[in-house]
Amino acid sequence: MPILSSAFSGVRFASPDAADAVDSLRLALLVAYLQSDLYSRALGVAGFVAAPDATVFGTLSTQETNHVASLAALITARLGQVPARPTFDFTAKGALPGFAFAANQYETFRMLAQAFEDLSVRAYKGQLQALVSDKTALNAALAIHAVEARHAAEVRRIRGKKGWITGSSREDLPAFLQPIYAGEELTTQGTVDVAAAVGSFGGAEAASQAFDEPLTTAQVTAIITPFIA
Amino acid sequence: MPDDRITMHRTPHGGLEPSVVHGAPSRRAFLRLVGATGVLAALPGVMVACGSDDVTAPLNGIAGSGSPLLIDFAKGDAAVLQFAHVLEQLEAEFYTRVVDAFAGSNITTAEQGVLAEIRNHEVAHREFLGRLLGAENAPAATPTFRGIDFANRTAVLTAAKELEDLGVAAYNGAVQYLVAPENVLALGKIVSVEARHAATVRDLLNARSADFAPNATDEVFRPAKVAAVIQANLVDKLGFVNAPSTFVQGPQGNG
Repeated sequence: MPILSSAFSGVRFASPDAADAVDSLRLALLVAYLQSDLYSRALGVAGFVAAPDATVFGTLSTQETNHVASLAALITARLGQVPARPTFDFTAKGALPGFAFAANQYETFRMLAQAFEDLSVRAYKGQLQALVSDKTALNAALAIHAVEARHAAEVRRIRGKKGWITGSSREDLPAFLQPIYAGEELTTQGTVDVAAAVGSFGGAEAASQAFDEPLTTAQVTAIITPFIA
Repeated sequence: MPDDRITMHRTPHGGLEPSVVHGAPSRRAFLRLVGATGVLAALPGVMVACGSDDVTAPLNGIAGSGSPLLIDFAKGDAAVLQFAHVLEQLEAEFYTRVVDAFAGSNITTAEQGVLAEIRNHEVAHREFLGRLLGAENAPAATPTFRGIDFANRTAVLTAAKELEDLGVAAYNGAVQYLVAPENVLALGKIVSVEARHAATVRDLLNARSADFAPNATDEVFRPAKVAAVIQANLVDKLGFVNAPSTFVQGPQGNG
């Protein structure tokens, strides 16, 4: 994994607390690369994306490509080095054996889309605190973060799922993707017991759905690493 | 039929209690009126039988006709959280009325399930922020929705779409004024769920279209811009004291 080790790993991602804006943007760019690559691969195979989903995945592809460009520009403006786009392995080193955007593998693609969109929401959220001293970067991250949440909801809905995450449920995704959902089950926020506060208005289920949780740089990197060839 | 009831109110300790009966303002609004004018003469329509917000809500539900609801930004993070709390009170009340109008509406059963869950999320956000601020520091807002026919699916979903999109832009533009990292994260946890709502409502209106995410980046609105919009749905006179003089724009530069 030469690209990972040269561009994305190492001490710059080792400590979220010490991460500066460029580190945060580089992590965001890695996620955007992953997503844009998934969609461009899928759309590059004629007839692979089902006709009723074509508009949705076309929109997702366009917007993720936009995010790549926006993040690269923000990194450049801060005199950072823009990491090269890694080569991705969407079998996740064999966790999805034989997955190659083939005709009978469409649902696997949609599962990956859901997984990466939900991951993306948590990844951006985990960088917000590191960006507070750079308001332009903070606003850019927030503006993309919310769109990732829109993406996640739409992909989940076209898959017949709710637009939000309940507890730490990965729904029907394969078990190796569980780290994307681990920790989403919180029903207490700070000192507030939200489950008790909402009471009959959905209780613990609503309390978990109503708040998306962050992932650290280390957690995001660990989840993405198997997808880098 | 246009919705016409204030169905639930925050109690001083932040809980929920059913309150208003048709034709009378809530006790809280009643006290506020007394405090504002000292008399109760200026209440045309109060005794009129059930109708829309036009006749039964506090001050007839006329936006901006109530007493001031001031947010003092000298309070720092607390002011930002109060602003978010006003927004969540508005959202929670909107969806509460939507749910309460299900019986006579043309919203499908499946859609009702979705909207009831969104109602629960907005209640969770409101209760979280209210408790985080503490009862004395979390002023109660009085939402009003004159003219919205809560039994009409298109009217409800269109209003919901506008409310969710605005909520996303409001949170995105408020975070820059926070100092405490835990508050940055707290609003970050909420805003993505608002964005999930926005996309969901947009998908209900126009399924499998490009509408769920109209732009690659969401809007980032300054608090004053948001306040000017939500004033139309607040009986209170929403005002800022010591409002921030600077604002850093988001990618679209519309804030």
